Amino acid sequence: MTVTIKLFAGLRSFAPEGSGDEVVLELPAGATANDAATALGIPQGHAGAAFINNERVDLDVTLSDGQVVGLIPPLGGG
Amino acid sequence: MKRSLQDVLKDARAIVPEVSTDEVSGRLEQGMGETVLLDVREKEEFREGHLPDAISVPRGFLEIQIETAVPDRDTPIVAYCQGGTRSLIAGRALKEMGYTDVVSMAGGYGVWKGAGHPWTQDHQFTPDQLQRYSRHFLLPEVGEEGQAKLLDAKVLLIGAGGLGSPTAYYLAAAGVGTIGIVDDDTVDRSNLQRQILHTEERVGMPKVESAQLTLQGLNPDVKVVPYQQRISSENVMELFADYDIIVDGCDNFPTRYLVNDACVFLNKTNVHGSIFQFEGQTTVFKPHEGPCYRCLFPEPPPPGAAPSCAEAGVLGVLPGLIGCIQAVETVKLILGAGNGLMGRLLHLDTLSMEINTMKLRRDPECPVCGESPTITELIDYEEFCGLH
Repeated sequence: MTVTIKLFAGLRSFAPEGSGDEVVLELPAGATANDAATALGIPQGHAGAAFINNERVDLDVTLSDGQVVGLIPPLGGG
Repeated sequence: MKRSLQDVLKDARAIVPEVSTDEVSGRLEQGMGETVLLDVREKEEFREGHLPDAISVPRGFLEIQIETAVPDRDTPIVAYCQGGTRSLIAGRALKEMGYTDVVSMAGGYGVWKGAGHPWTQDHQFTPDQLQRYSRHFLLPEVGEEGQAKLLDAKVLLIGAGGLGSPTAYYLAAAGVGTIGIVDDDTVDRSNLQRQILHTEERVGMPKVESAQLTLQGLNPDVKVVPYQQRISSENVMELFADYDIIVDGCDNFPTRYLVNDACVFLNKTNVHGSIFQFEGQTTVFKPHEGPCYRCLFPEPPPPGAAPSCAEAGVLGVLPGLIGCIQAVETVKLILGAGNGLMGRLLHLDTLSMEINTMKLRRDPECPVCGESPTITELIDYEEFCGLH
């Protein structure tokens, strides 16, 4: 299946060169948001939270073909 | 054709029914429902005393403000003034604007008060305050009642840095009566690119002391309470106890989880802001009504995964934007106005100038605010964040 991963803040650095902040990924059926993060080389624990259709979902949620998934890390600074 | 006052009043009476003060008193006792009590006297007269729950729209501002104050044309309106004349004329103007159910209270506030019916007096503002907050008074969502709420409010800011600076500045300007500020740090020259509370000549001064000087210079109404200490599990419950709202503008994860847990335990609303380089996040965590920080981010990032401003750099203007949104949300919470950011995470990217607002939900399995909490007292937050 094909999903689009939208990266925010510090996670943007994991986007492959030239792809911008929205990365189109081919993933096996049954893959989760966590699997998408791993496929992009994002280390475990860095992704923070996942969003589908601008609604927060668990990182272990199973993705469907065509979805746009946001990955947002917590921000530390103040 | 010349027309006398009597002619004008006669015409007005033909379209605006008059009711007695006793009838209005009877309706008040039964509960007014949707009926609006509209005081059309001058602000000075309203301040001296008015009917309970009346709204003030002086005759001179009636046509300009009534649509905001009473948007539905079918809302029943009881208009009154001091003697019953101005409200009759005002009633006619309302009818001409399409308000369908308008009556005028005969005899006005003078007869009402003389008959021993209940009346109230709002917060008494000094002449300086009447000038200072005059632009707030013009907004129906604030008004004198809202300004009194702001002056009575107690807000605690965690951090007098990038986020705390604009938040504190605007809360002080808005007249938030008590602003506590917790920060153990001193002003460094590298702070001045964004931490606008502080100045060049205050380099080396405790930040809370510098904040106090700035804020009291801006608004002498505000009581600034400085806490030059690091917030910890030992002092947080005592620090938060006296405040209505906590504004999180800190710069590290152990403190963010500490602030969250203490807010849940004490049932205090937490106005969250956080930043990284060009991007910021803000939301409102209202314990047990909406999600908490742990519902959003159950686990802290591994050490080093989310670098601080000192490590990664930050655009100086960014905390200005996020801190101002935190100030807006805080003021709205105090006023009870508008829709807050509870249950929504606002993520701002200044480089693309894109704002994403994402829906958050309470996590029934949240260890702090969920159905079966496993964390019921403060923990070691440095350890929780893997820092020792």
